[in-house]
Amino acid sequence: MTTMPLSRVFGAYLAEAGFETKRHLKAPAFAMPFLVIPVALYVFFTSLGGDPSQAPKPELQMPIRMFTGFSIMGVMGPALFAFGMAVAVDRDFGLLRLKRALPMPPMAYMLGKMVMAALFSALVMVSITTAALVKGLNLSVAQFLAVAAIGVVGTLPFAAIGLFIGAKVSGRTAPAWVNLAYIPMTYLSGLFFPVPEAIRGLALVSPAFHLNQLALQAAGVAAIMPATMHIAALLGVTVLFSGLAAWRVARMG
Amino acid sequence: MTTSVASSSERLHALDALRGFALICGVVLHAAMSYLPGFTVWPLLDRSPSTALAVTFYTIHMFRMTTFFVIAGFFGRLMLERRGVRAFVRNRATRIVVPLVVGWVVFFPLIVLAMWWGAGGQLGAPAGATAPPAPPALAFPLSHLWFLYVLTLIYAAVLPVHALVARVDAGGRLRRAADVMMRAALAGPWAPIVLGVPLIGAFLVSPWLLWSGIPTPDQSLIPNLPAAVGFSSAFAIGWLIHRQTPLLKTVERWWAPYLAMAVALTVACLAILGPDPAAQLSTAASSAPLYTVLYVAGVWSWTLGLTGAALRFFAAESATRRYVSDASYWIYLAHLPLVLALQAAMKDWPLHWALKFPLLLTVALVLLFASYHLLVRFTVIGEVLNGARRRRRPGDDAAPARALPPTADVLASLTGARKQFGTVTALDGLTLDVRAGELLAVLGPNGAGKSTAISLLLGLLQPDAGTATLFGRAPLDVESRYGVGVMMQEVTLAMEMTVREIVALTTNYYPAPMTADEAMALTHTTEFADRPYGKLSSGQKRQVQFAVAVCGRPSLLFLDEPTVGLDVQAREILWKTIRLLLSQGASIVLTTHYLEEAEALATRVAVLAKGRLVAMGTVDDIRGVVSRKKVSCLSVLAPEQVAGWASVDAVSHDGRRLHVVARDADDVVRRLLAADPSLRDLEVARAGLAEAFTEITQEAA
Repeated sequence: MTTMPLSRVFGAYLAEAGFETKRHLKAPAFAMPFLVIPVALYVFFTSLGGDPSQAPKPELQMPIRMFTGFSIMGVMGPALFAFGMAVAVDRDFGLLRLKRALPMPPMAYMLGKMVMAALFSALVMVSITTAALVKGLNLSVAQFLAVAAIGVVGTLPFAAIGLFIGAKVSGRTAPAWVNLAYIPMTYLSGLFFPVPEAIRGLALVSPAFHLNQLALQAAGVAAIMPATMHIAALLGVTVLFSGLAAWRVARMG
Repeated sequence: MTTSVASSSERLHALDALRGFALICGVVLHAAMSYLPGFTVWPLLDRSPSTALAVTFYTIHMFRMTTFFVIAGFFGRLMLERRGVRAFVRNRATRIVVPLVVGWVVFFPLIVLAMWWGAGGQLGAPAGATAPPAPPALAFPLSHLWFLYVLTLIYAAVLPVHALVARVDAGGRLRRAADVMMRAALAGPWAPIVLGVPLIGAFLVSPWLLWSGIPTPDQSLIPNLPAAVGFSSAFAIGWLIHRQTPLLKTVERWWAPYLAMAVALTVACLAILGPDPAAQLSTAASSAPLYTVLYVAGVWSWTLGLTGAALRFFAAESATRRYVSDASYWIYLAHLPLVLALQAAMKDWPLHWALKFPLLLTVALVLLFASYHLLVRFTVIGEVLNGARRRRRPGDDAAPARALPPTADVLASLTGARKQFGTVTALDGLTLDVRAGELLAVLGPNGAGKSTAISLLLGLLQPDAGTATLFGRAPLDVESRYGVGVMMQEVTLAMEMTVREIVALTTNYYPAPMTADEAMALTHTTEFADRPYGKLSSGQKRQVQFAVAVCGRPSLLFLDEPTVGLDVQAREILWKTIRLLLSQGASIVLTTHYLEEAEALATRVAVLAKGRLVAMGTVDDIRGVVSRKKVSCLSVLAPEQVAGWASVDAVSHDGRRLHVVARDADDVVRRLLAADPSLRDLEVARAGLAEAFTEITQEAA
């Protein structure tokens, strides 16, 4: 029986990630709306409020909350939409079936998509950070870098959810399902305004809430829960959904 | 040899049962905790405390996790030796790390909820926010899943240590020395003390609550010292016992003395401490060193005694014990929120603990077993926790057993494979071999089950009954597909990417592939190498898919209807390439519904209709079979008289009519009429296979 040296297995993962990246860069229209909309919204809303130092409750640190909120919204988009839908379409096209029959390393396709999602998130973070700098948001370089890093790594749980949806539904119905995850998650996580007391507990199950809290802590806003809990929740969501997606793809195509 | 194989598998049953026992003991332990007098470590205290349950708790806590880790070490080495590093890592990641992470995310909030409810909604603050006064470094509430976390750490350490030992101790001298020491350690009544030396050392240097035994490492990502030393040494001892399984015989022989020692030591320890968990004796007390030695000896006496007893009494395979030990993992993972909720609900009931505790335990175990049976056993959860398990079906026993082990000659095989899609039976007990160096044409009309058969061989589908193998392994293993190339029907490759990029990506999946250029030259796709796949004609797309199939130099190539949609010229090129690959020693499975294609290429032909194999043989055999007809009549002739005639393949008599299957029906009819002038009611029909071919030809037309 032939075996494959680990270096070649690693090479296969790398090749798959490179291929996926190139593929999406060749069709940028697919992900473009998700790159542009959060930045545009961020600029729009931060321009509305006037001078932040005159805001009614400065202790809320609204400028920082706007920055992290739109950043998190920005990294959710490409991960959930572009990649969840791309997987659904690949499944419809029989491409996933073929890849499963070939000796592709089992997680290569998923990891390739995730690397791709992280790359798009990096683009989002660069553009929002630039906008924040232009708007004169008062954070240190280290804080900006930390928020950006959290945003990029924080793509993974959303990519995992996107992949799971993509692995479960057809290409035609994928956008509807993705919206069903995306819109409630955005609002229930307190990204832009406080969640009503009665349903605040729901935020605990939303990865967007946990990621936003991490970003806020990195930007110097007081923590409401220890960071390890947020990280554990995000890790759990990532493992759970990518595991479910991989299992689903491995068994059903 | 057979006896040793049998007895070693019996030992595994015994250890499996013991592991299940240790886990279910954990449920009892936690259920007992709300009844311990003054035991404020537990968030819920019942109004009817019990010293008897305190002693039960104390005893179970003494052995259950040490026993668990010994078994984990034993099975850990077993798996690493049998399946290799990669399979070990993959298996442990699925069975341990995934349940750890997912289990924590699912169960921890439920545990917090149950405690919150039990406290009358007074806990208030969100999960984890109630930090203890001096939180340890890297504080993290692992809850009862800490044992999976500690196991993960141990596994992560074992692999480098294992590799290091193999390198440093190339001659095996070190390992032989360890074996000698293990034999000496287990040779006499000193075993519980000798095995406990590391744990005694850890207890002597770090303060601990004497009554609570090995401190549970559930508060931090860094396990406390006694727990780290105690459980990793238990793991190591299990590992070393697996190096020389005759040691299990020793343990088995001594089961009764060990258990007697265990009871005596437990009594002695409780005599020093008193059975009241609230009366904490500190490590500063003068009796603490003596207590430590007795306690650790007790830990190991229980562990060895229970292991010995399991080997002695539970060695045989038993369906019930198997079920319970399968269920125990899920039960342990899921039990804590439920047990807490029941404790919370019952704590103020004005009943004696001797009624409440059995009731609580019964309700919890019934619900947990029911949840296992309904939600876990046959679902993805059960597959992750215990490995794949299939619901038994009525036809299972009927599946023909493979008479011979797959020889090197057989590259892929289906044995009694059944596959059902809803009410449609796609495959109905198909048995099929693919041999080295042949081109097997699988011929049949649409819906005959050709693609399903290939999907089973490739692991894309799982048979409902029967088995599929690929290079002698399960088709789901990636390793079994390194030798496989595939061309499927109705696949759209990445539209945006060029042919060269697509082929180059695929070469990366294989151990020793062609270059992309070689593959494209072989399949005549070089001229459109740099065009995006989406811009190609349908024939060109098929050629690219063929390039993808062959670029890994597969020794077994699956081509599902490869020539559909090709023009004559492209088809000729494809056939030529197929013949070239065959001459180079590759084996090919080709499905088609063109008899002509099978005739042009095949070494052997398998004809499928309605999910069954209706004929199998060389092209000539099949051609002969196709022309067969069935003659039936009312005649006085005996079957023996007709059987010898030229071109007659089979004769039978059903008591009324004579049935003859013949290749040249016209000739047989002539001879029948000559031999029996009284012959009546003559019928001539196509034989079954020919009917199948009628469908084939009708479709092709």
